[in-house]
Amino acid sequence: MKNNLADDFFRTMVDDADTAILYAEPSASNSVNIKDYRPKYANKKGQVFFAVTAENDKSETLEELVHYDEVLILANKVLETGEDENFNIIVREEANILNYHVRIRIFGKGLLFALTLVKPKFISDKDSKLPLGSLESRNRELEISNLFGIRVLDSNDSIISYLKPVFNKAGGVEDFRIDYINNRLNEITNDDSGFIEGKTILEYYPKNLENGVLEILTDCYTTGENKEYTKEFAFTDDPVWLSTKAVKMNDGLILFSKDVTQEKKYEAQLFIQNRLLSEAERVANIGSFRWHLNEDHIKYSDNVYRLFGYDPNEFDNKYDRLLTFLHPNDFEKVKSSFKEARKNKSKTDLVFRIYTKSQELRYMNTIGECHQKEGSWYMVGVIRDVTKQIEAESILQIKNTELKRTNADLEAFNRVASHDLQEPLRKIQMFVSRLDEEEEGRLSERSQGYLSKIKYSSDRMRNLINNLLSYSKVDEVSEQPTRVDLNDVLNNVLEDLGERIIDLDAKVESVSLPVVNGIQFQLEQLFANLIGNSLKYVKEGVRPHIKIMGNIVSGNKTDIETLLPNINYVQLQFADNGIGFEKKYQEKIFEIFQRLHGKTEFSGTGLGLSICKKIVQSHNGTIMAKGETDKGAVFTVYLPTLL
Amino acid sequence: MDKLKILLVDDDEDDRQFFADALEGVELNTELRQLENGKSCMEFLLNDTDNTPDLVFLDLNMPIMNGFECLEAIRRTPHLKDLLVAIYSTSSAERDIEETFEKGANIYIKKPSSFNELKKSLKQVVKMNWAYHLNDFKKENFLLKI
Repeated sequence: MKNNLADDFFRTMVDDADTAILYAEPSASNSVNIKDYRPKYANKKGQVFFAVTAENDKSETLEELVHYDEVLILANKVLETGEDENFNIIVREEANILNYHVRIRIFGKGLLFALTLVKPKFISDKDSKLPLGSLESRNRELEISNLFGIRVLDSNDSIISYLKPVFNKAGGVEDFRIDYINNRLNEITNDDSGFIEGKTILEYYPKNLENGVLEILTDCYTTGENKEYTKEFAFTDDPVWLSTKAVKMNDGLILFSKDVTQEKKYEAQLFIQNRLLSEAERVANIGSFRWHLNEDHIKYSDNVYRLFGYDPNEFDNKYDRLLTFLHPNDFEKVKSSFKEARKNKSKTDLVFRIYTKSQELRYMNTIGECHQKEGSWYMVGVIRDVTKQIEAESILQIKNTELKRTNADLEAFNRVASHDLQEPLRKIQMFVSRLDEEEEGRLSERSQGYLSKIKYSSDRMRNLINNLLSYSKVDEVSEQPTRVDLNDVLNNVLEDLGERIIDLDAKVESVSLPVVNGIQFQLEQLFANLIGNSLKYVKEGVRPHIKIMGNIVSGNKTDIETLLPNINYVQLQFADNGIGFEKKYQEKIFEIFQRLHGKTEFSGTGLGLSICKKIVQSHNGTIMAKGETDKGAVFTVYLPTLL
Repeated sequence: MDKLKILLVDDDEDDRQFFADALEGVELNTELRQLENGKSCMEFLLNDTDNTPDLVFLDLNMPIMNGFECLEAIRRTPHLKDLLVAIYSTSSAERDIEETFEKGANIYIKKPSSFNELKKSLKQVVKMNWAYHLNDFKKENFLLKI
């Protein structure tokens, strides 16, 4: 090169450039395929970088100077094709790892190498206004575009890396070296790009072998086809999912990876939830649907299809198709209901019949509500198979009708029985009383005895009829419940039983009793029956002692199933010291016509306690008996308190 | 003093006999006429106005015209609307009792099952101070349940 002004100017300008520039000419090669280059000129930066003098007279070739095979390979390519090559190399300078952009192009008889340090810095407007054409401006341009690129890469959400293949001796790819990676992976692994760059993917993450990443990348590299994969990486204790797209570029691969851990988690959750919903729908015989009201199709859950006897998605999801399943008599009902809901965006709730795929008639109930989402109206709802319920209801209805008829029959029977049985009985009693009166003293003792027996039997029969009547009448009281003071009830009953109490010298004790809501005469009958029983089943030689106690208890404080837990009850106890009864009769004692004793031993119709139970039940209460032979009996009555 | 004219309307022959015997037994100054159903009762009351009774005992369950219908017919007839009517029936059904009072009965006597009781009831009813009771009408006072 000649030393003249222009040369000086050029040299100064080039020397001032931030780019390391080296001019080299091909030399004899040390191998068959790869040519080597002998540096001929370097600017100041180039002299430092390549450790050469300005006008190189040393014999070292480029290969000996830079130790980068790729540079030689690419330089050869430029020489062959005449086209520029741009690429990055990583250079270690002491502790620093530097990223250089390399540009190789034909210049004269040789090649011009321009290496620009890639520095992260913002690009100012000034930078973009350099005059075009000059080497410096082109270098600047390059630097700018590089910087720009780096900035873009670093500010990208994705992890972007550039990998170079590492070949084995057989020429196959055995690994990839990470030439460049932006700073995004740092957020996951805490490793700086500088730490990662220069390592191979197996060095950095050995599991890349077993998880198939190496294979995919190798495939991408050899075929040149783009590859996409999503894999889990345990860089730290918190594994992450990365979704990666690999593209072959130049002699390497560009990888765009995205952290999709969160999406994966949502996906997993969604999957579980969908599975759960689907299972729940199947178990509950329920299906759901979403109907875009402006359009004609309905999105059904899988179970809707199953409810209709089909496999998921087996039938067309058009609204009109739905109508074809309907029982002809329900067609208009369903159509108008949906029309209405569609028009007024109202809620719909209707039961209709459908024919399933196997022509089975089923009852369906659908409930749908309209919602607006992103400007469109949707009806979201459920369909459930209510065939069983409808059938059960209709059975119940039949049973109810039967029951009503039975009850009416029973009532008629009671009226007839009471009247028609009482009429002849009354006459028998009447004649007996006349006979007794008129023939008093004239009958033989034996005949008088017979007469007494007739009287006794007819009295019993009258009692029986009366008790039967009151038993059957407990439920058909027309009176409304009123406030009943149980002290009044007790006093009235004790007054009625006064004679017997005196005769038996019975001791009756009671505490002050509460007020309840009830039918006074029924409660009197209850008290009379219970106290009457205590006066009846007395133990011989023991003074009868009756205790009546009253308390307020909460339903949940007792372990009685028939009481409601959130209601307070009046607890009445009638305890006596009579003959009691065997424990096993505690339940049976309330059954109709249940007698524990012979008729001759104790009088009674076997209806007294049945009437008690019925009265208590019609007052929404419960009655229980507790007893032991010869140890007395306790009857406990629970009646709801006044609210 | 005039005899108290009593009319018994009952289809049951035995009951009529009991009634007559009991009335005779209580030895009150009464005169008894017996009829078998509502229809014959109404024919008598409408035609034989000279012998309109002071007190009518009316059974409820009778053929041809029952006690309810007869009672209604009595109250519909202007000159009979204040006639004293005692219902005399076996029924102790609440709604029967209620219905007869609604239709204008003055007293309800349940047929007793002892002759003595019957005599007591009749004595009570016949000797009742009707003017007093009618002024201060209380159903309880007119319901003789035995």
